[in-house]
Amino acid sequence: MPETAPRGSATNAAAEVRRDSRWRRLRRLPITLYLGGLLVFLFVFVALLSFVWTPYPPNHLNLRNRLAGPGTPGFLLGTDRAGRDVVTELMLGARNSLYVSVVSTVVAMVLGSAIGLAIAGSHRVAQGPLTRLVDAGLALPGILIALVLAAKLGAGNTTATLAIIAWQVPVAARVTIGPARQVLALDFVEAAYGYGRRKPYVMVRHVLPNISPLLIVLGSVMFAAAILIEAALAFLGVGVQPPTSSWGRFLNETQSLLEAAPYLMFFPGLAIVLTALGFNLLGDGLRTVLDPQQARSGLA
Amino acid sequence: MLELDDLRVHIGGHEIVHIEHLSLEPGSRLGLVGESGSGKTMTAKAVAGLLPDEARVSGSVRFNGRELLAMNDRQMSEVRGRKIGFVFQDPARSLNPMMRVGRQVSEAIRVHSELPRAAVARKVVALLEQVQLPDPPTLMRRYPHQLSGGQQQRVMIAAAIAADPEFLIADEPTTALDVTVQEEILRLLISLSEQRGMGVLFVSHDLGVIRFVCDRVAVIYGGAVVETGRTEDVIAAPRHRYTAALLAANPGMPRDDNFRAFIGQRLHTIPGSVPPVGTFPSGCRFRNRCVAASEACTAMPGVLDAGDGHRYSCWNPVEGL
Amino acid sequence: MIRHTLRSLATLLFAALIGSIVVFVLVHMLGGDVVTVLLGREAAPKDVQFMRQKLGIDRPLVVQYLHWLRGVATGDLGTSYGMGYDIFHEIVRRMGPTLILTLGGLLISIPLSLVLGTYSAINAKKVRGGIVDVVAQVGISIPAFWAGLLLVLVFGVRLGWLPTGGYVPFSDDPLGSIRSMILPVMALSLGVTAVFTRYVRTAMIDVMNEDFIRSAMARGRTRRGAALVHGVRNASIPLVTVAALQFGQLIAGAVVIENVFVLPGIGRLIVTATLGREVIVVQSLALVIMLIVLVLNFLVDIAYGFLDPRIRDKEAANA
Repeated sequence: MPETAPRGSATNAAAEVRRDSRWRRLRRLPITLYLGGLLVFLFVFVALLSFVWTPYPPNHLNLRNRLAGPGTPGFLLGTDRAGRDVVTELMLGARNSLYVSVVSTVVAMVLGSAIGLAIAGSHRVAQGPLTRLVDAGLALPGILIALVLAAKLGAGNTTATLAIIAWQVPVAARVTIGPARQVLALDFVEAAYGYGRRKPYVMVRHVLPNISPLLIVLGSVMFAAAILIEAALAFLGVGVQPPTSSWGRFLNETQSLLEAAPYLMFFPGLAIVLTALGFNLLGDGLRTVLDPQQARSGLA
Repeated sequence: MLELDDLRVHIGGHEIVHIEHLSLEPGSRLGLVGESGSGKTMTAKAVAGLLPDEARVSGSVRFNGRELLAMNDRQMSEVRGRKIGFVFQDPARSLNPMMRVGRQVSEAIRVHSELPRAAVARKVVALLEQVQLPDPPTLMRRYPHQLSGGQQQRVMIAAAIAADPEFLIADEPTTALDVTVQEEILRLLISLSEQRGMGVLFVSHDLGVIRFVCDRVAVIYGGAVVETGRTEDVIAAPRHRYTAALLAANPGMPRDDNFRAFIGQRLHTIPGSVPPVGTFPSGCRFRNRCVAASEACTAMPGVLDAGDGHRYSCWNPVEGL
Repeated sequence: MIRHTLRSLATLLFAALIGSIVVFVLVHMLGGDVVTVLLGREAAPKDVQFMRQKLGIDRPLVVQYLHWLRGVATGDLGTSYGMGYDIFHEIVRRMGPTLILTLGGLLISIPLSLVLGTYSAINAKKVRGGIVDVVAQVGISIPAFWAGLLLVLVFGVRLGWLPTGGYVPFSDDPLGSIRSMILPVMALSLGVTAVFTRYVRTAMIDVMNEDFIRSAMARGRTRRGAALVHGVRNASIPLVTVAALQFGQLIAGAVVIENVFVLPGIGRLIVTATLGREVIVVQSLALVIMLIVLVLNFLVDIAYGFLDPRIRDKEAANA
């Protein structure tokens, strides 16, 4: 690239070239990354904003404005049967969604990738059966674990979080095993053993950094799944309980008003779709940037 | 019958192939020789319209007077298999592992004609016999992985000539095979070409193999033809420094027809290796590896004639022996 | 082939064992006492003791576990404490709507996603292929229950073409039965189709880069012809393996959809039992559903062995 710079003001020109190439590189990033990033940013921003500001206080009942339609002065998206402002409910729902998804995704990622790494690093004879065990876990419907937990522990955010973790750990483990095994087969890992490094050290210092792009992508996609599962569990009534607001539960509560006030089911659903889409697109975009080899078969 | 003019192939903004002119007479066999990365395979694929999606082609490829580069996928599909057959380097990967051998051999017949089933089956048996495979009726019901590498390549050849093309492109057809099997496959290709009067464009990195098979040879470097002529002439009296270097890398290049003496002479003693795409020097592309490079070589050499169709592009050619 | 089948069977049994242990451990070792859940904290110690005996949870855990497994095998799962029904018979009775829902979902989503995914893969470098992929991305992000609500709103409430919920047995009214299942099946298919379309797309794009596709084109196939004749056949191999993982998602979707459309299936039963804190019912139901999923996976695994000639031969060689 320097050869395109005029000789005279070498430093300036080089800086310009560098800035130019950085700008070009930004422009070459996939659109999914920007769109997904924007949606995710909006979601996180709204969720955090709800701690300091909502149009009405949480659980404030506007008794004189029950079932107000969208666009009613003071109620941009209307109110529900009890007179709660929909915008306020959506913001609080985002907060709960974020809370459950962050906790469950982080725990599931750490546990799952640790299991995946352990299996990849285990003795060759043990790898087959252990991988099949993970496969079996993957094939089991996670929703059953959620329901068993809910029956035993009662509905609530803890149940939902535990369920999502149980659901997602096999996913994270399965995705980690293959690439980790590939890295372990590389020469520099052999070399590290040659220096007398032990396996846990090699795993953490060599394998983990090399598969971290994959884990970042995985995290984003798992986040989207967590959002959807949280909403589904709350919708079924086994997730978070009143008075905490949740998108899924709001949809459950307004299901009977489908005829009278369809707008009530529209906006929370849209919020779920946009948030999940945001994380899915972000994951897709990140894959294109971080893992070009695999992404060639993704969005061009 | 096949004529290339000013054929250029670009991939990712780099010119991979630029062939000024190359032609092939009906029934004759032309060798395309060069190191890996020289653009010889891309040239072959450009002729058949089988380049990867990201490749951009310009110039002219005429086959029996028809311009192939102007054709879309549907029109090209009428030409491929029917007029031009193609044999690839790696038979194991080039055959569909999940399809019986017979259906792959008959594919071209079924695509290009409306023959009834029984006639197709008879033709497949005849083809498998022609490529000297044992027990065709059993063999056609097998899957590719049940055959040896040599058998797989015979199947590929049978599939390529199934619809009686006038012209065959063979892209390193024996590189993936054992030396003994190589000879059988090459002899098969030669005899099929002679029986059917079928022209062959034979791509190889091995001058020995080319000399065994081809009447004429085109030496290709950096995507351009640097020397072309009758195989005997070029090997006996190479003019271009690159051809000379290729030959020097084959010290025992024999002059008889004993195949064993021809093959397996790898081209790794030329100083350096083919530069990565887009980093060729200006002027003569070989000059940074050439023993005779001079100031003149920074300009593009013109085409010189050594008589009898022997042409080359070099500023400091090897003088006649 | 026999070896392959036996290994799949071993995996099935192994997974079933692990699954049953996980469910059992969750129910019996985690958190509070089952009896407290049923009788409340204020219950008299005598009642608690009686209840423990009645439910058989005063015995050692291993005995309880084996007893439960025997119950699952013999169809004796006890009765629902809250509702009084025989659990095994209730499961059998409720199987109908769930089967129609899930099979209907598969029948629609598999062919549809094959077509969409292949189209998207063939046109991967063009805008129209990308659009299919983006739509699939959106489809994956739509929760099944919301899709169900939207469908009810449009086709049930606004247009009035189809019932908004409820189930009509096929034997009572065939037409009404089909009408009652259209929206639920559509809602369930949406997400499954979207996920599967992306799988098909990826598998097809990978296959289209294979050398044998190029050879097929060299014999006179057009790009699309090669994709249809060679691509779909070969892409089916990786697809079958991911399809197995989708059964779990399908069941999860069915549970939610049954609750949106008030279908008296297994999914509704398990959610009702969960909300009623009927731990014993949930435990057995979870295992039964799990077994169904595992058997489906087993069948797919067998089909996989039949599909790929290379696996068939490897087995024959090893046998």
